[in-house]
This record gives sequence, structure tokens and C-alpha cells, in this order.
Amino acid sequence: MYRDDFAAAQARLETIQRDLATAQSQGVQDQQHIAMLTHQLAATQQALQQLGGRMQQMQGAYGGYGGMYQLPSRHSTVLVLGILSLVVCSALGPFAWSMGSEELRRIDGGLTSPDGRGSAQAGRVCGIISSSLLVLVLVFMMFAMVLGASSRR
Amino acid sequence: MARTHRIHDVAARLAAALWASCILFGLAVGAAGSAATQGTLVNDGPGCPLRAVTGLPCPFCGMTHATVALGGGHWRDALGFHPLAPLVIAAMLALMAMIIIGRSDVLSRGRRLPWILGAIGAIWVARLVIPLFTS
Repeated sequence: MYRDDFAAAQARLETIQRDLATAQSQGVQDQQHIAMLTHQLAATQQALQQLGGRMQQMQGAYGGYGGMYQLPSRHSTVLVLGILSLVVCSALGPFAWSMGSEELRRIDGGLTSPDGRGSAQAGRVCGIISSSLLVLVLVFMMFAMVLGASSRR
Repeated sequence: MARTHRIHDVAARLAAALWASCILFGLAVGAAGSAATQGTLVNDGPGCPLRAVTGLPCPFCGMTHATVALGGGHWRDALGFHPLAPLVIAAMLALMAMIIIGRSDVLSRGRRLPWILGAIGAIWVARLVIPLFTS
């Protein structure tokens, strides 16, 4: 279940209530239309109650917001950045590392869905590897520069 | 657990600072380094893993040469090595600064990442296709 389902049901309920109030206040004589709106209102209220009940169940199961976490999950972003840092541009490595750590902190804090833990960890590891490769390259280059400078003397 | 997160956070910021230092170092070598130092940097510098494996240039191939050329004020040479070199360098420095100050979520807001990845893909395709018609 998604937060959008609940929000959509609430919006629908408000629309029907507004239409019904308009139809009743303006003296519309079409009783069939009013009856149809009343029926829709009852059905929507029932659907909303069911959605609310399911949310409470999920809240009990996960201890968080029951599928309605405070923050959206970014695990796929972290994974994409991590893979790109290894394949295309190692400058993205620190990003994958930093965002992966932040995402795991949010998961541990119950702020976002725990489903993306594996992806976030994988992205973070890719970022760590590409950043470590940068350090190795730097060490190699400094060595080459020192060697080059000493050989010119 | 919190301590582990903190260690990773600090390490990622250090990596970003290292990257930004590398870019600034490349510009400094281009501006004030000897020809031998510049040669060491561009010839013995970090190779492209994608090019090493596939033989195809990545979207950022040529950026080391372009950075050194830009540092020396040779804009035309820099744009020859990479047509978007000034933009890429400025964007990289800005992004690294964002990580260092703890705002790494800047890429994941809204639909920024798909747009950025699309732009990188477009640069890549253009760099692969244009030489086929100009050579």
C-alpha cells in the first residue's frame, strides 16, 4: 500500500462531499444525482477506513510509519552512482560513499524503507573502492614525479 | 552503529576534499609547473578504466589534459581535449564542495540525477559519433 492511495481516497472523498453540498444547497431537484453522490460518499468513506486500518497494521509490523516513511528511499541513486564511479567517472565515488552512508543512517533510524539496505550498501562499497583507487593512483603519481625530479638532477 | 556512520561520513568528505585538491593541483601544475611535471601528470596520470578495457573513450576522457591546459590559460587547447572542460571542472568542484559541507543529497533531489546522467550520455554519444564524420 502506498501513501498515494490514502491521499487519493481522501481527495476523492472531499470532492464528493463538495459536489453533494453544492447539489443540496443549490436546490437541485435531481434526487437521483443526490442519491448517487450519497452512495459514492459512503463507499469512499468505507474504502478510506480500510486503508487506514491496513496502515495501522503495517505500522505495527515495521514500527515506523507503515509504508509511509518520512523520507523517500534513495538506494537506487546510490547504487547507480556507485556503479558509474567504477565504470565511467571515479569522481562520483565520494558521492556514492557519502550518500550511501547517509541512506544507511536513515534506514537505521527508521526514516526510510529498509528494503533498499542492500543496494545502498553495494553503492557505498563501489564508492569506497573507486575512492581508494584514486588514493592509489595519487601515490603512484607522486612516486613518479619524485622519481622524475631526482633523475633530472 | 552511529560511530560507523560517522567514520564513513568523515572518510567520504576526505575523499571529496582529495578529489577537489587533485583538480586544483592540476590547474596549478598547468599554471606554474615545469614542462616535465606537466608531462608526468598527463602521461603518467590516472588512466581511464573504460578505455583500457573496451578501447572506447569515456565521457570524461581528456579531462586531465584539459585541466592542465586550462591552468596554463590555453583555452583553445583545453576545449580541444574536452569541449566542456571548464563546465565539467566547475561542476566537479561545486559537487565536491557540496559533499565536504555535508550536502551530498543535492544530486538526488527531484529529477536532477536523471537529467545529469542524460547529459553525460549525450556528451558521450556526441564524442563517439562526431569523430566518425570529421575524420
